[in-house]
Order: sequence, then C-alpha cells, then structure tokens
Amino acid sequence: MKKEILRMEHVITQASNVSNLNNFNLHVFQSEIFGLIGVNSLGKEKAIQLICKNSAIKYGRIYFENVLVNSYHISDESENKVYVLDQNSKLVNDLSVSDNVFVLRKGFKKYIINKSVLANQLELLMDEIEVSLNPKDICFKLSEYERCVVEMLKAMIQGVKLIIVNNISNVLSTNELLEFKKLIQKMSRKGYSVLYITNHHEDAFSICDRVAFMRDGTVIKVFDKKEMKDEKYLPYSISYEDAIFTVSSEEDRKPISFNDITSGNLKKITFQMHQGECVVLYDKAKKLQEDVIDFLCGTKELEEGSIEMDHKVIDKKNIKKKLATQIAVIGEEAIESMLFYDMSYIDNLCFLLDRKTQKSRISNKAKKSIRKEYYAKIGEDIYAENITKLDKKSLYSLVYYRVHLLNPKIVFIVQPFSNADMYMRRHIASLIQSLKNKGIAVVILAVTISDSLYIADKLLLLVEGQIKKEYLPDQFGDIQI
Amino acid sequence: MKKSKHYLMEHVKIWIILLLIFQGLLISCILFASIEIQLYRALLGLAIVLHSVLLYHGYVAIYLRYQQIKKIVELYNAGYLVSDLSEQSLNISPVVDDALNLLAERSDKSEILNLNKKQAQYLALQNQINPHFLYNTLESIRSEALCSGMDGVASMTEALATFFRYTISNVDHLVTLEDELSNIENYYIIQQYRFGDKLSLSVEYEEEGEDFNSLDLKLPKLILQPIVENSIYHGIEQKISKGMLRIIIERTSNRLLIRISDDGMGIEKELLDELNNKLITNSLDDIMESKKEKKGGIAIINVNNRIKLLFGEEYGIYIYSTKGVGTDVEITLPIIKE
Repeated sequence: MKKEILRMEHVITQASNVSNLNNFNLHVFQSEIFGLIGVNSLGKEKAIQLICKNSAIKYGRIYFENVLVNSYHISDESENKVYVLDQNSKLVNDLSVSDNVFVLRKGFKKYIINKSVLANQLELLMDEIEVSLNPKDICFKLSEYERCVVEMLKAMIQGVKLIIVNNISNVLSTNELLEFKKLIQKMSRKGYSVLYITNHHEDAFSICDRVAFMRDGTVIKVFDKKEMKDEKYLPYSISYEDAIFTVSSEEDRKPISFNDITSGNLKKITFQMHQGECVVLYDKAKKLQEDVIDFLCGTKELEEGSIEMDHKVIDKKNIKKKLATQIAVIGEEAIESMLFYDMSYIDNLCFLLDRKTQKSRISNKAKKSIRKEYYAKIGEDIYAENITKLDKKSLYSLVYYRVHLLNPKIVFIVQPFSNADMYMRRHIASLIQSLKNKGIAVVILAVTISDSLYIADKLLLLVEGQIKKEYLPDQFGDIQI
Repeated sequence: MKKSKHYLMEHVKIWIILLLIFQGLLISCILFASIEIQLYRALLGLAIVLHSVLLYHGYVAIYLRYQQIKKIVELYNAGYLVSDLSEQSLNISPVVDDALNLLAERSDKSEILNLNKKQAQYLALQNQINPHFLYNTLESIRSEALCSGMDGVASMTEALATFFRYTISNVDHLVTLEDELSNIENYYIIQQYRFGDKLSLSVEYEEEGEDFNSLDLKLPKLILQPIVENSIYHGIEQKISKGMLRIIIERTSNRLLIRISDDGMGIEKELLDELNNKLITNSLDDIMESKKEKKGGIAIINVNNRIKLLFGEEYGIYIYSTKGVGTDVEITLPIIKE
C-alpha cells in the first residue's frame, strides 16, 4: 500500500504576478521520484509556491501527508515540510558545511556550539546516504555537486518529507548529474519523496518512477515507468523542423581555424569550422566553459595558440582588440545578464554597435534605419520603451538580434538552452539558425547537448581539456551522453 | 441587477466608514488637546491603542471572514462543487445558519442520483426489456449454439448474458473491485468478437502481501464499464491501427486510484477543458441531456456525479488527454472494505 505525501486536486489559482494553475492535479507517493516537465513554463512557479506554502487558491484542495492543508475554504499561509533545491544556493557561503546543515535551521536554540559534536553528527548523517564531505569545509569552496549534497543533508535534518529538485541539471556537469541522481535514488529508498522538475524528458525518464507533462498550468499526461519511451514522448514534444530554416549554403564560406588554443584547463585545442557553421564543444566535466569565457572576455590571458579567420590571425597580442568587433559572447542566462532593463529595446539592440561604427553614439537616423530593417523579424516590440513588460521570447530575440546586428565573425554561446521550456528552446534554436544563416560561426559551450544537436554541424567531445572525439551530424546518434 | 444600495452589506460598509471617520476625528481632537494639556497625552495613547485593536479585530473577524464567505458563495454560484453552504460554517447568525440547514434538507439530491443510476442501467432499462426474458433467451441461444457445435457463438452468448445480468441487477449496490473487473473482462470478450486483435486489455495492480487485497475493496457498481466503453467507442474504434486499453489500480491508506488509459484518438483540448470543467461543477443539464441523446463524455460525467454524490466532492474523475495520442481517465474513490 502506498502513502500519498502530496496530493493536489483540481487546483485553480488567480494570482496576478505569476502564471496560474488551471485545474491542476498531481499526487506524489512516499519514496517516489516524480518528474515534472513543463512543455511551457506556465504555472510551474505557482505550483512550487503552493507546494511549499499554503497560500490562497481559487478552487481545489491540497493534501500533505493525507492532511488537508489548503483549499478554497481555508488557506492559512502555513508552510509544508518541503525543501526546494534549485540552481541558486541556499547555503551561507562563509560558513562551514556543518554550520549550514545544523546551525542555520528553525528550532536550533543552542548558544554554545560544539563543532566536533556537529561534525560527528554530520558524519552519521552522511553515512546514511553514503556521501562524504569535510564538515569543516567552507561552503564557497564547494563544487555545485557538493553544494547540492549539503542542501540535501540540510533537507534531511529539517525533517522534510518532499524535496523539490528544480532544474538542477543545468548547473551540474554530466558526471556530477549522474552522481546526484544516484543520491536522489538513495534518498528515495530512505523514504523521501522527490519532485524532480526538469525541461528534458531524457533527464526525467532516467530516474523517475512517474513523469507528468504540464502545459498552460495543467497536467496533460502522467507517464508511468512502462510508458517512459522516446516514442511515447514524441507527441508531447515540439518539432524543431519549422524553426531551423537553413539558407542554402554558399560555396565560398571562409574557414575559421582554432590553432593550439591553450588557457587554464584548455590544452592545445585545434579544430576548424566555416562561417555559418555551428560547432558544439561538449564538456561533460564543465571545467572548460569558464576558461573559454575568461580568455574571450579578457579576464584571463590566452596562453598559447591563435584563431585564424579571413586570412587574419588573432592571438594573445591582439585578441582584446578583435574581441570588440569580430568575436561576440552570449553568456548563460542571457536575458538576465546581457540586457539593460532601464534602456529601451532599440538602445539595447544597438548596444556595442558603437565599437563597430567607431562613433561614440548611434544617431537617431541610424536607429530608425535599424528599426525598419529588423521590424520584419522582431515586430512591434522593437518600439518598446520599457523592456520589462516584454515576455521572455521577445527578450531572447533581443539578445540574439543584437549579435545579429553586430555581425561578428564568431559568436560563443554558453548553454543557450538552459532553463528554457520546450517552446523557448525551439525559439532559441531558430535564433541561432538565423545567426548561422547570416554567415556567423557559432560555437556552443554545452554541458547537456540534446537541443544543441538540432542546429549543430559538428560536435567536439572534450575530455581533460583536449578534444577526444569529433562527431558529424550522421554520427550524432552514436554519442554516449 | 439590483442597485447596490439596496443590499444590507452596502449599508454596513458605509456605516463602518462613517464610524472610522468619527474615530479619526475623535483622535484628532484628543491630539490637538494633548498639545496644550499633559493629561490628554495618556488619553491619546490609550485612544490610539484602542483604535488599533478595534481595526485589527474588525479586519480579522469581519473583513477576512466576509471575504471567505464571499469567495465560497461566488464559487457556489459559479457552479463549482463546493460543499453545501450549510456545511461551510459560515456563521453569519444562528437564524441564517438554520435557514441554510433547512435549505440543504429540502434540496433534493436524490433526483440527480436517480438520474445517474438510470443512465447506468443503459439501453436495457431504457427500452424496458424484461431482464429474465433476456437471460432465458440468451441461454436458449447458447444451448442451441453448443448443440450445433458453434462454440464461439455459445461463449459470446454466455458473456453477453453474464454482462446483462451484472448490468441490470442492483445498480445501487456496492460491489467488489474484483466483480467490476470481471464485468470488464466480460465486456472485453464481447467487444473482441467485433474488434478481434485490434483491441487489447491489460489490468495492472500490485500484489499485496497484506491481509486485505485491493480487489476486495468496494466501489459503486458500473463505475468502470461506462468509461471503458467510452475509451473503445470514442478512442480506439476510430483508430486504424491496434488499440491498447490499460486499467491501472493503485491504493493508498485512504484512496483507491484507478486509471483507465487508452492510446486512441484522444480529445480536442477545448472539449477536454470543457469536460474537466464539468467534472468539478454541478449541473443537472448534462444529466438531462443524456436522456435525449447519446453523447461522448456524458457517461463519464454521470459516473463522476454518482461518485461525488455518494462519497463527497473530494472524490471523482479527472481526464488527461491529447488529441491523436490517447486518453487517461483517473478515478479517485475512498477505501471501503465492508
């Protein structure tokens, strides 16, 4: 006989600040790993909020451990025994592991803290889930995986019944993710229930006992273990075919060569690509992304090697100069890190264009002309004065069309599909394709590769800072993730 | 719509606002007086404290409760299946509570229940077929078929007779899950003569080593068959390739969860939303409609209404479906052992 930890019945919400739930049904059993995949992200945030806190709902009922905790009748704003593990750390970075686990929690009332007692208790706790960490380690030194382990320990000590793991695959490397999944399985065997929220079905199918697909604030399908097959998932996914409109390739696309690039963990990386091509640098260990970005942004020196394009050589002597116009970088979480929300759409779009035009400001006439040119691609949003009112899709367009307008030779994109729902990933793929169609070479730095392969012309598997294997599109099926 | 000034609540609101203005003026007067006279400062403090307590009490005991009552009544008016107003502890006044209780007693639930039972008795009852005449005739056909060596016809007739016997007798009784599943197997045998290999059925449940088996749990009669029939006629029949029907049974300490899943044609999103909305709202229209015409989804609504009327609004049906992919109907029932 199973025990229900969470049950949400016909939940309808009417919040004004987030997308709402519409007749949302979900039940999670004890010791179950339950996957939740958003075809779009509507309602996901609200669902998490309601699982954690019993705030007002328009209709429906929520049961936690078989007790009615929230309904259209009573919402007492109390909190449920739930821990949310997401991409942002909840640890205090300057404190040790044991302090974070034991001291920073409700109900801890001791004034004198015996560090060795805490360390011993932590050892016992770690033995329970077969993990090993130094209790005295300061949290800012921990890797993302170790941070997740500490948060899991914190959840255990808080006595939670349900752990929500929210899109964690984006911050962990492939190997770390495998380890983390093993940890989740151990936790579930100990009686903890896990709500595993992700954007990728491969991620969820590999670990979950059941997986729910959610769209527009409603669960549209619950897969049990027998149904978790790629062919069963296909009808719920969106085809990328319409998004990837390839412009016929020009014969004279010029080659771009990366010769013996060495910086930090990168060791003599050599490969060649062409303008308008997309190469995915797949690094399971997630060690190299930072190094690539560091030398591109100029925070770390390119130790050795050069990039050769258009018969011109970019090396450590002139890379800073060329970076402004010939190489662009789109960072992870681009809409949060690359936009200026106090500036208008057109000003954001023209940002950095001054480096190309060699003029300190872009004239209104030029802006008018840019608006005219990009209106067909962007639409009315190009006239937006306040970009905070725009939706995510439009903001992603802004980031990518900025690069499109800047027209560099190469663009490096860090994990472009992370945290994006299915519709958004399709949109991002179409934006990357438009860069390719313009003849811009695209290098994607990826830790997870499933979506990148739709637009990639080549995949390079990096191990220990070196290219281990090269895959072409007809070999993509052979890649062992 | 009546003018708002006709409502008692509007007068109460105006009265409260006037009272608050009066209190404000009083405090202002004390404030001015306290500038000159020392003694009034203590009085001012006391007045502010009393005013704050009064405001807080008014907010919690009147405003929040009024909002709660308003929300429930609005849901009730919109047709959502909230418990009867009398059960909601509105506590407006003893007289109003008594009136609501009286209203609940007088409102006739049995009409909806009877209409659902009748629907569950299918065409047999609607056509006024004499059950015994039907059983006897089917038995005669079976004997004739056996004598003629037509085993297929004999077994089909046997399945049909068993199915009718189960369907027509004692519809308002609770039966075991095992009985319901046997009826589904019978129904499947009959349908197999029509669909052959195109239709397959599997029943999945966890074998429990406990003293009580899920199959011994009780549920209202004819809960599963109308939904299976819907899955076959609206889902699998219209499909060109083979169709798979799964019945998955799960049990918790206080709920029996039954999922009937097909990989048929699925339901259009608009129709699905409408159906799911009907499953949480209360309307006689759908039941009345079923008497006039046989329409997809009516059987599910009727089964849902029967469950909710028998066991309460927290039990019932929810449908997951995607056009062209399939439909899952999830039934939630209470655990009944005796």
